[in-house]
Order: sequence, then C-alpha cells, then structure tokens
Amino acid sequence: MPDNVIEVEGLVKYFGGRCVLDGIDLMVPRGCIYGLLGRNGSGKTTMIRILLGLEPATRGRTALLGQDSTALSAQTHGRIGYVAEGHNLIQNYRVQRLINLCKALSLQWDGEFFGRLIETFRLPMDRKVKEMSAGMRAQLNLALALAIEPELLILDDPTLGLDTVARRQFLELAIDLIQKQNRTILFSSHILSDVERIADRVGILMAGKIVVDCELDDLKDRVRKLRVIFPKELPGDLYLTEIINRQDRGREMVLTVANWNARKQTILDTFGPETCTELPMSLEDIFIECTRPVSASVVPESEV
Amino acid sequence: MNVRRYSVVNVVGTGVLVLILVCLGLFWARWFCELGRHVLLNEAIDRPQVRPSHLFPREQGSEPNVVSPSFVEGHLRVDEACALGLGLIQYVQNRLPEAPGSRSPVYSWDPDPDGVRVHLDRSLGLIVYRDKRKIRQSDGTQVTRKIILYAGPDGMAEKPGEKLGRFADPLVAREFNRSWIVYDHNLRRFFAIDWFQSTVRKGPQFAEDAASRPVQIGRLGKNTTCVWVNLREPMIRDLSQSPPQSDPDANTPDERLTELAEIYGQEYVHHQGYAGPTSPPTVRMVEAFSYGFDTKTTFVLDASGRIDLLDRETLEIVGRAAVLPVPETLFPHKRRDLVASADAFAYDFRPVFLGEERTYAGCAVAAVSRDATALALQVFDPNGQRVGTGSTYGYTERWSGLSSVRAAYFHLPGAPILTGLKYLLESMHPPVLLFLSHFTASRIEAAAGHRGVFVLPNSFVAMASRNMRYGPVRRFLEALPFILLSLGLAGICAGQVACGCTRLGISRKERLWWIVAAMLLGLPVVLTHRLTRPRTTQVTCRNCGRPRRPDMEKCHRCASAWEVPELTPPTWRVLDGGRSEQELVAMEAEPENEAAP
Amino acid sequence: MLTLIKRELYDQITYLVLASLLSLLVIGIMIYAVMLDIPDASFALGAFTLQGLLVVFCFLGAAQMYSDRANRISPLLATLAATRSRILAARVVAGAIVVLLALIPVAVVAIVLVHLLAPPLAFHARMIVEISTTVTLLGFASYCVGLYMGWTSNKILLVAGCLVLLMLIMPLFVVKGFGGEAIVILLLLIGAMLLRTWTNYTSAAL
Repeated sequence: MPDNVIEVEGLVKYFGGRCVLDGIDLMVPRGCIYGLLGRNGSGKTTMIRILLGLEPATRGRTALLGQDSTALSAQTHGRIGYVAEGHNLIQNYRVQRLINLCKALSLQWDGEFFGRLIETFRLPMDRKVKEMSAGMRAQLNLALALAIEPELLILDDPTLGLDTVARRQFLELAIDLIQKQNRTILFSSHILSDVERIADRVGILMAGKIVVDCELDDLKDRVRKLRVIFPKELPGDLYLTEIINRQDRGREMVLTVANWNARKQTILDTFGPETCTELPMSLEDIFIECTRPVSASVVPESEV
Repeated sequence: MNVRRYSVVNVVGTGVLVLILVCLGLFWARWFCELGRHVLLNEAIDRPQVRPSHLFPREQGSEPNVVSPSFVEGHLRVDEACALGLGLIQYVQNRLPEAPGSRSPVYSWDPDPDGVRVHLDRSLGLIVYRDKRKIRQSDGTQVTRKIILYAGPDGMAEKPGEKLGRFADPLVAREFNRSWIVYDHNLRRFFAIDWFQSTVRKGPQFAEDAASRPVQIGRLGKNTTCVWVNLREPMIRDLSQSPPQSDPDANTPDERLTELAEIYGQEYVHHQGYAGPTSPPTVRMVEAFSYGFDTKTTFVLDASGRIDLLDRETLEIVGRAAVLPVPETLFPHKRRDLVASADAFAYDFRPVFLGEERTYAGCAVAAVSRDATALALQVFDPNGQRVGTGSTYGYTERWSGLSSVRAAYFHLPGAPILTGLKYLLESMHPPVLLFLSHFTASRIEAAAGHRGVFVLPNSFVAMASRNMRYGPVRRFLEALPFILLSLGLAGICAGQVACGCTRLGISRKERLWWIVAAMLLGLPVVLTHRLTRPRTTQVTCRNCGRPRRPDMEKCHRCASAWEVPELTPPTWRVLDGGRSEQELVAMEAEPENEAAP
Repeated sequence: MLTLIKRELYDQITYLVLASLLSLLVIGIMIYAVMLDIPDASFALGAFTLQGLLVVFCFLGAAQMYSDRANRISPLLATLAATRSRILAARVVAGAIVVLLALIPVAVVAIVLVHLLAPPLAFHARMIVEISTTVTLLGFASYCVGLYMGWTSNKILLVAGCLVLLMLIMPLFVVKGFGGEAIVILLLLIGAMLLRTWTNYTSAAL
C-alpha cells in the first residue's frame, strides 16, 4: 500500500448556497507528480486551499503528510512548499525583508540554491513586492517555495504570468526537483503541455466531482476519439456506454469514448461501419473533450 | 482539541464576554436612572430639624431669655450619593489616611519630615510613632531629638520587640487626642496609647461570645460628603449687658440677632451695648464642643448600629450614647429602633460637650438609607434617651410633604417613569442573578450596593428580601412579582433560542442546554447563541423542500441523503484500476461476458 | 515565534512610538504637576492622556488584525512553518510588549513621586500593586477589544465596535475601583476576548 501524501475523502465545499465540490475522493502517493486540471471555477484552487488549511471544508476530511488539514503542525507546514494562485506575498514588504522572514520561518533553507534562483530570475532585493511585475512576483514566490527543500510542493497555476523563458526555467526546476527522491508535487495549470511533460498522474475536476484520476499514459489509452463512417444513415443509438462526446455529420460520426476496450469495439463493429479511424489526442484534446458541458455533448445512453 | 470541545469552549468564552458586557451596559443605564431620581429629589427634599435640640440646659422649659433656640439639622446631598457609591470613590476614601472609616494603616502623616507620623507596621504588629521633641537633658539643657516609639498591646518602647506583643487587627480612633484609643478585634479589648507618657493601658477583655463588634471609634461617620449634622447653638440674652426680657410672651427667635450671631461667629457676642428699649439686646452664644478636644468619654460604634460611651480612663463601656436611626425605606425595615452600620449608606454623628469641664451633653445622629433617598435624624440626651426625631420629606406641586423615599420613587415629576425604567432594567438582568440578589441582599454593605454589576443589592427584589418582619418564604413570595417580568423575558429568550436551534438542526440534548441557559441567564444567552451558531447558508432540501445545512450528511428535518441538483457531472469516470465504476458494476452482473482490454 | 513577534513589532512601529510618546506625556504631566503644585488641572490632563493611551492600545490591536486581512499576511505566514495559533500568539505577545513598555515607565515614575511626597511605599504597597495591575489589565483589555473587532473588512463596524466596547470597558475602574473585583472582571474579559478572537481567526478562511 503506497504511502499517501495527500488524502481527500468525501470533500464537500459550499460557498454560501453554491456547491463547488461535491464529494471529492483523492489519494496522491509519495513521489508522484500529480496534475490537477479543471475549467475555471471548477474548484481546483478551493481544494488546494482546503488541503492547506486556508479554507474550512463544509464536509469531509483532508490530510497532508498524514495530518489533518485543520490541524497541521508548524513542522508539517515547514515541509510543504506552496505557490498560490495570485502569489500570496506581503505586498508592503521589500523583497529582502520577505526573504529574511521566509528564511527565518523555514525548517531548512538551501541558501545556495536560492541565491542561484534569484540570480537566474534577476530579482531586485530592495524593491517592494507590490512594485514588481506579476511575473517577477511569480518567480519570487516560486523561489521561496523551492528554497525550503519541500517534501511536498503544491503549485496552483505557478506559471501564471511567467514569460516563455521563465516558464521553461520553472519546468527545468520542477524536473530537477522530481529527480530528488520522495518529493511529491501537486500542481494545477492551464498550460497542459507543461502538465503533459512532467506529470505522472492527472486528475480532472468537473461539476464538483473528480471525473478522471489515473496515470497519464493510462488516460491516453483509455480515452479514445474515433471517426466512424457508416455506409448508410447513422444509427440512432450505438448502445455504447461512457460516451464523452458525439458529433454527427451526415454519415460521419466522431465519437469520444471513455474506458475504450475490445468489448466496446465489438459493439461498434456490429453496426457495420465503413471505416473506423482513431484520431490521436493530446492531453489538451482529452481535457477539452472531458470538460465539455454534459448537455452539450452526451447523447442519452442506454444499457447494452 | 476536538471539534466538540472547541465548540463548548467557544460558547462558554463568548457567554462570559457577553454576560459581562450586558451587565455593564445595564449597570450604567440603571446608574443614570438613579442619578436622575436623585437629582429630582435633591430639588424637592427638605432638611429635617429638631428644634429646640434639647441638648442645652437653658432650653428646658420655657426660658424667656432664650432668644434663639438651638437646633440640629440633617443635611442630605442626594446627588452626591451616586458618585460616592462608585467603586473608585469608595476605594480612595477607604485608603485616605485620615478619613473616617479609612482602612489605611497610616493614621497620621505630616508632610514635614519632622512632623508627627503614625502608622501600623503590619509585619511587626506594632503602631509606630515618629516625632521631633525637645528633650531636657541631665545637665538641664534642652535638645531637639527625633523620637520613634513602638506601641504594642503590652507596652511601648523605642525599639520593637516581642515583649511589646502584637496588634493583629487594630481599630484606631482617628481623633488624635492626647491618648489614642485602639481596639483589637483579636484581643477583644480597648487600649489607650499615650505617646507623651509612653504608656499603653489596657481595658478589660470582652467575652468571646460578646455581641459587640466595634467598627469605628472616636470620630464616627461614613460618606460624610453626602450627609452631615449641623448643630446651631442657642443664643441667650446677655443679662450682664441688657435687661431681661420682660414680656414672657415675647419668647420668639429674633431673626436679627440670629443674623448677627452668624456674622460674628460662635464667639461670645457683645453687640453695641444696650442703648434703650428699641435697641436689640446683647446676646451670647452658648459654645458647644464636639471633636478634637480631650474629653472624659469617647464613642464606639458597634456593627449593630449601637453607639456606646467609652470611658477613656477605665477603657470600659459605661453606657449607651445613641443608635443609628432607621431611615424610611420603600419596604419596611426589619427593625424600627436602629439600623446596622453596614445597612446605612451614610451616617454622621455629632456629640455635644459643654463648659470648661467638657461635660457630655448628648448627641445628634443622622443615618441615610441604602438607596440614599431618605435621612433619619435623632437627638439623644446624655443618658442615651431619645429626645428628638426628624426625617426627610419630599415636596411636590401636588403633595406638600411626602416621605422623601415615596416622593423619589412615585410622586416627583418624572419619578414614575424612572421607577418603571429601573424595574424594566432590573428585569433584563439574568434571572439567576436576580435570585442571587434576593438571597444575598442583607449581606452586602450599603455603599457597595451602588456598584453592583452582577448582584443588585438595591433592586426591588433585594429590597423585598430585607423586609425581615416576615420569614424567608413570605419574603421570597413578596419578591416574586418583581422577578416575574425577568422570568417572562427569559422565557421569550428561551423560545428564541429553541427556534434557532431547531432551524439549525442542533441536537436535542444541546438544544435543551441552550434552553436551560436562557431561562437562567436571559438576554446574554440569546446574544451568545447568535454569535456562536454555525454560519452556513442553508439550501433547499430536494426531499422535503425546507432549508437544510450543507455541512450535515443528512437533512436534519427529513433525514434524506445529500443531493446537489444544480451540478450535473457526467456518468462516466476514468479512474484507477482500468475500469470505470459502471463497467465494474456491469462486470459483476455479467461476469461471463467480460473481455480483457 | 521570536521571528513572528519581531515582525509584528516592526510592522506596528507607529503605534509603539505613539504609545511611548503618550506615556512620556503622562510622565511629564505628573512631574510638572508635582513641581508646580497644580494637582487638579494636571490630574484631569493626565487622566485624559491616559485614556488616549488606552485608545491607542485598542487601535493597535485593530490595526494588527485589519492590516492582516488587508495585506493578506496570514495567508502567507500560515503556509510557512507556523500555525495560526502561533501567529496569533505572537501578535498578542507583541501587543502585550507595547502595553507594558508604555505603562511600566508611568507606574515607575508614579511610584517614585509617591515615595518622595507621601508616606513610604511599604504602607501603600498593596494599593500600588492593585492600581498598577488594574491599569495594566485595562490597557491590555483595550488592546484585546481592538484585536477582537479588527478581524473585519468593514471599517465602520470596526471603529463603531471598538468605541462601544471601549465605552463599556474603560469605565470599569470607576465602577469597581482598583481592587480585586475589577481585576477579576478584567481577567475574565481578556480571557473571553482572546478566546473569541482565537476562535474567529483559526476558523476563518484566509
């Protein structure tokens, strides 16, 4: 049984009368790079904040590094690096003062590594945080999160505001971190090419639920997009389950199906398609298909 | 800390905060009502007089040469009482060295380092006296030397020592005569300390079960800025200067002479000399002495309200001088003859000594009721017999002389409103504290009653409790109507809290606790409930259509499970294990049809 | 913890300086009154300034919590090696330091003046202890009022709430004097306000 660094059980969160998370269950094992994906407003940031104890959950249990999120000790906090969406930095402080504060409040601090990062990012020490650009704040936030040599790194859209070069630098840092043993990363990003590059596992949040939670390669294997051309008219009901999306154009049907297997292939073959071509999908394509609103994409299904 | 204990701690902490703040707010509201009543009364109250005072020999019978008889007047500054009752004033008063009733261990302190300084050294248990005196030496010369003397129950010496004994709980007469009278509660006897003779005399020891408990010696008084006894000596025609009054019927006070006597003070007055029948006669004022002079006797006030005469020589109680008179109260007082010192908000005592021998001629005593709306004045002859009484009246447009307490509460313009407001504010107080006020009413000292924030010794409930003519059950029944409104308000609060708990799905047991707390404490519990209740926006239950809490697994009204209809997630899932949940369910139903991916 | 305390003191240096200045002003008035023998006016002025000092303590507490919300300080600190309880404790300790730094010199000077002019301290030891304790607790209670009301983004509610609570709490020594009763009530008030502040702060979303 792998040691789970992040545990979420039955997590429910309401903001006022609006439900954002409706019973989330998630386990992230140690050493995993987990990409958490979702549309805007799907609850990614909310879940991360609940994990870190910054937001109270309405119901359910969350735990980080074996401790309940509502009772994380200072030691546990010291083992977690966090880059928040929007970069939670104290705006009135000068950079040097902020660095000194974070250094004083850390359990361990890799000064050399941090110095290299500051040089690489070329961050001014004497300027106030609010006077820096969004990208520079992002870089500073990242550097502070990495300098403490965290056992768990939580990144909420860390490359927001970074230019291409800085993004590449971040990715390289992340890979460097990955190679260190027992480091776990949970990150969410809208730049799926980055996620595809480094993540082991992905999770997709939609309508308050986790609809995808598996290894990246497994996901690509199990979600298939097929272009099927029928000789005559399209069949009304394919008797296939787990259709993510279906688009009909004359005799052509483009199907996106979850958990594709030989059984489903057999079912499709019974309708005698003329051709059945698989369309390759990147993670971005899969994400777009999976997060399409239900009413816009899914044909009512029936049991086989 | 688990969530349950966290919640209880939060509720208790918030409850304490709210209770204190509500009680403080109600205190100030009640205080301003009381101030209003006192300001109204101050305008309408009279000064009781005993005229003639019967303390002077010439006033016996119908002496025609008494031009202006003596009188004793009681002054009550009602508006001072509100301020005097406050804790800050009482705190300072009780610690000023030379104030009557002071508990300061400093008895006398001259700012001049060479002056007289006397204090109690608690660690030694001795009274220490410092002075500068001229000492005659053996060769006849005089030198000025600083002296320090230590006085204990067993003697006096220039150095402290165990042979002097220890004063454990001394009560010192603050009248600073030649000899100081001290009473020690532990040793149960009086002492006379003479700093000049360097002697300490002991009086007889009282029996252990003796009813006496002296609380003041010598100069007797309490809160004397709001009450004082004024004595005006008589004016007698000076027969050496002017002929006697021939008309026996013309024995009326001569206002002009009174005025002249006031101008010239209380000295013997020789005015112009007799120049004929139309000139005013020469008068002389009879001089009376009060405190500050060496007299054969001094006075001891007992906790029961009795004032005894103490012989300075024998240090024995030689008779009764007076009692603290009973001022009128809204509810009849338990005793009609005297009031305990702790039951009077203020009192003043004025003894009279006459002639060169300083013969004791009697005294006048005034005592003020707990709520400072009435004053009683009595005059006593040298044998302790009452010879005159007076009490305060309040005058309104409709009433030409009601007892001041009834005028203050019911008949002065605006008084009924203030009384009603007082009752209402007392009813908003937590019921359990009102009950406590009833049962502790007699135990709280009168001056402390004006600073009651939690327990209310001056409330109607407490006043009813002090009606000791009846037993405890009847007294409680008398007080019950005054508590009913409070209980009614508490019932409303309990209902509010119960509804709130039901609305929030709070468990039955917890709801019961809230209801009980509301019945006991009233308004503060409602506020506490509002501040500590779970803050969740309720959503409509799909099953029963009523609001339910999203932080509860099931609806607290219909127990239905949770549904979020506004979110429509897809039915498919791509989760670990290579199979979706649906496929797993389908596989379980038809295992022979399953094919490996 | 020391880092957090230093951070708080540095961030609220304005209030520390203001409190110290008012404290010096009170000391100056006391010495001036003694030298020129004008007790009444000086007493009134000194009492007024002391009340101003209590209001400053209140606004110190309010500023600490309000600026935390406005500048999002706790969302950063809570993700470092610190818990919310520690952050709040450091805040309270910093506030206590300011209160003591402002009031202790006043107490010391008062004691010296009493020693010079009045009967020896041994006679008044209990009174001096009671008055010093009550005034210090009153200062700390005023600070706790600010701390309690400061956790809001509504400035009007903040100011109004502080003023109402101060109006109730500050005159407590007038009602009860300086003795044990006032001390007990102040301790209960301080404990309850700190508990409530802790509950609000630890359960709030950052």
